[in-house]
Amino acid sequence: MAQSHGESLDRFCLTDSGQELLWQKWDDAFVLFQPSSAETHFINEISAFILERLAQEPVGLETLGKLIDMEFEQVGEKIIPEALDFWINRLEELGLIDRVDGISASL
Amino acid sequence: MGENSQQTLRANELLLEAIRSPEQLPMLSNADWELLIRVARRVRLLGRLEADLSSAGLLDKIPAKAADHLRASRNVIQHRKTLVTWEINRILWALKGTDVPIILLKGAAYMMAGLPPAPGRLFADVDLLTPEGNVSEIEEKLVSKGWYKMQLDPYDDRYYRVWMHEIPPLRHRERGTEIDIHHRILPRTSRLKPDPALMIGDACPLANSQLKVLCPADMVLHSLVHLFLEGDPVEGLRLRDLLDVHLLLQHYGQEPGFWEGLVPRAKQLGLARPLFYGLRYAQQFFSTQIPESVLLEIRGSRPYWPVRALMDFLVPLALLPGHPDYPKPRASVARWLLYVRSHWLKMPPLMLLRHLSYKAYLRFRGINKKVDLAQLDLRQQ
Amino acid sequence: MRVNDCTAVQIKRLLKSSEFNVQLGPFQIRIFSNIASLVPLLSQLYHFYPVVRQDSISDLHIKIAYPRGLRHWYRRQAVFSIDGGQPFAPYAIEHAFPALEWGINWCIATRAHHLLMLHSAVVERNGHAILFPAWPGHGKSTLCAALVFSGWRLLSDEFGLVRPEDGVLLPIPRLIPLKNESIDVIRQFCPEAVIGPSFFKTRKGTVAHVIPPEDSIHRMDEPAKPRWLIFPRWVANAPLSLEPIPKSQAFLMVATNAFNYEVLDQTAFRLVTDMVKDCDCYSLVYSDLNQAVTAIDELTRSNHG
Repeated sequence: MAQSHGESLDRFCLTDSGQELLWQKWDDAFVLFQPSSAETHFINEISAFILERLAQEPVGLETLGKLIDMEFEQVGEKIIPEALDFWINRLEELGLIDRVDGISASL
Repeated sequence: MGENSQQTLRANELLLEAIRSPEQLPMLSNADWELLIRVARRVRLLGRLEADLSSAGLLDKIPAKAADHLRASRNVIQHRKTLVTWEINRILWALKGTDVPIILLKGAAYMMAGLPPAPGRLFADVDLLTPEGNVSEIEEKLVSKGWYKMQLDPYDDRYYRVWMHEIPPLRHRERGTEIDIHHRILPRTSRLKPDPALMIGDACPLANSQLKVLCPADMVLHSLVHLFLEGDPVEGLRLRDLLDVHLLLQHYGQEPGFWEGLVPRAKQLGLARPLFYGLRYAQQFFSTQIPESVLLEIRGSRPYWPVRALMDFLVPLALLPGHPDYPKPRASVARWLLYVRSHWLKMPPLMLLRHLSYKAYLRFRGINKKVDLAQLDLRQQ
Repeated sequence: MRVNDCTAVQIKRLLKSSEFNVQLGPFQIRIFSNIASLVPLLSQLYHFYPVVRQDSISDLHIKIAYPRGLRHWYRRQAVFSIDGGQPFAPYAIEHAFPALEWGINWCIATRAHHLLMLHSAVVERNGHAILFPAWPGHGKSTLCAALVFSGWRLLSDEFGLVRPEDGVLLPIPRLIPLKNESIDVIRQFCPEAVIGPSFFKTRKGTVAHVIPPEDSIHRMDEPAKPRWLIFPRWVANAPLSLEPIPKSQAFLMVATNAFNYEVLDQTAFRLVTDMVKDCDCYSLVYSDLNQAVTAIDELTRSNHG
């Protein structure tokens, strides 16, 4: 994916642990089991979308924001950067996603 | 021999035989299984039996009831293993960008290095060793990433900071695993003073990781220090710790140079005496294969015979669980004496007196021991 | 052999020689006691339970006895111990029986990790089970007692024991402990139920134990398949409501209210997920026991045709 001008260098990808997740979709909520931490997570659709998107390829924050806005267009509201930051930090803290290190980011 | 002594003997023999020859377990009678499960649970070796039977493909050759207990134990151990592995993963994440040496100790080291004591062993916390100068950097990084310092009472906190070989434990706010960060393997006040710089300097890196483990001789010596100097007043010396020593000796004994280097290293670190005891009791209980030359070499470090005779009397009493229905007061005394001894080696006498009486006071008030479960819901236990 | 085949003298002798070995669902429990007042209680309340022959493997070795030494004489206490360890502070001697009952549950909950243990009452009819996962005080034992005297078989009032191999529920039809007002509620609801003596001022208030119907104890080897998850809550004067709830919510409530969901890792996730998929999930709010039992009866009849 082309990196848009001015985007922060940090791109995110799924960790090994994030790739092993077991998914269960119930109605509107997702329940994930993370075998490497033995934790069960309840996540909303936005977090689920982020994980699914990052499973395909590493994506930077700004691009991710746009992708989310496109996906949830019918809701009408755009995701604010603070909210995106919050979800990203949370998923990172849970060990599901990580920053792509300098070398692969420059590829 | 009285009934008590006979039952004690029967229980202890059953346990040791099960560990030495797990392939014989399918021959056990139901009555022996019933006792073995209770005894092995008490010394937390149920998981070891499960691992041994499972690797020999014998789990379906034992009574289904016994297998249930072993499976229950395996499930708990597997879960703890996952938690400890994950905690290490998160520590590395939090410390990304630093090149501080991090040496795993004890259970975490056996597991990450894939050593024989790991299968079936219960993992509690993550123990790390790092140079004293790096401790605060690690502590700060972890705290900034979601770990917190566990609340201790002021006596314990001061005790840790001033005298100990580790800082008060850290715990992540969302997880239960404790991290103990050590800067040496024994308290500053200890009579034995193995130089941490030597141990840290010789640590071996694990493949594809910032992590290290102690070199083979040091790992054996540290597990001995843990066995003889970090006992528990009620539980006594832990048989499972001696089993770790035995399994490490058997494993590393195959590597060239291990036996030649062991005694000199113990002397260099001032740990020849614990090594003497470790080799002696590993051989006595688990028939560990130890070269004659090593036994000769360590003879010079043995204690005088009255001490030896006393230890030969106390150690088996404190190590072996006995029969749960026939408790021997003598064994409780031995467990307590060896606990006091371990503290004696770690603290000056006056301080020891203060420490033990403070701990005894807590026990007397019932703080440590008994929980009144009236307030607690069963589910939370 | 069952406990009611034994005379009081025999029970006393079995208790003193730790040969009182009873089968409680999947567990064999060996009880030692030198407390004479327990003999008539066990004789009355345990009379349907099987006594197991001696050469099988017992799962728990429970001792409830006077303290050793001097305390025996100046304080009338009962000490609960398992394998020589004493997990709880001593009880007043009058409370030895409820302490024994509660202690056995505690031992099972802390040890039986070869099974997934949900915190739930379970009853069965026509091969289909209802689970009632609930927090303490939500009236699960009372509702469970009422149902087992209305044609349902008791699997348990406390443990939803799930066998990991196939997800079926294993019965553990123990005595049902009722607390405080519930005791009279059940006396009125089903006068034929046998309820043991009331123990006053225990750590949980007044407690009395209901003997499950003989048929439930007799069929303790017959597992059942989960079919409904109903989350009950007793609310004073509330009108009856029995409403479907989203499965995500059911999953959350079952998983967070289990004894060992955390311990069993992926196995627990899979078992609870499958159970929630297979079950119809409802929340029940009630104040009147008769209405609740009728509503459950109608729901389950219409539902599985």
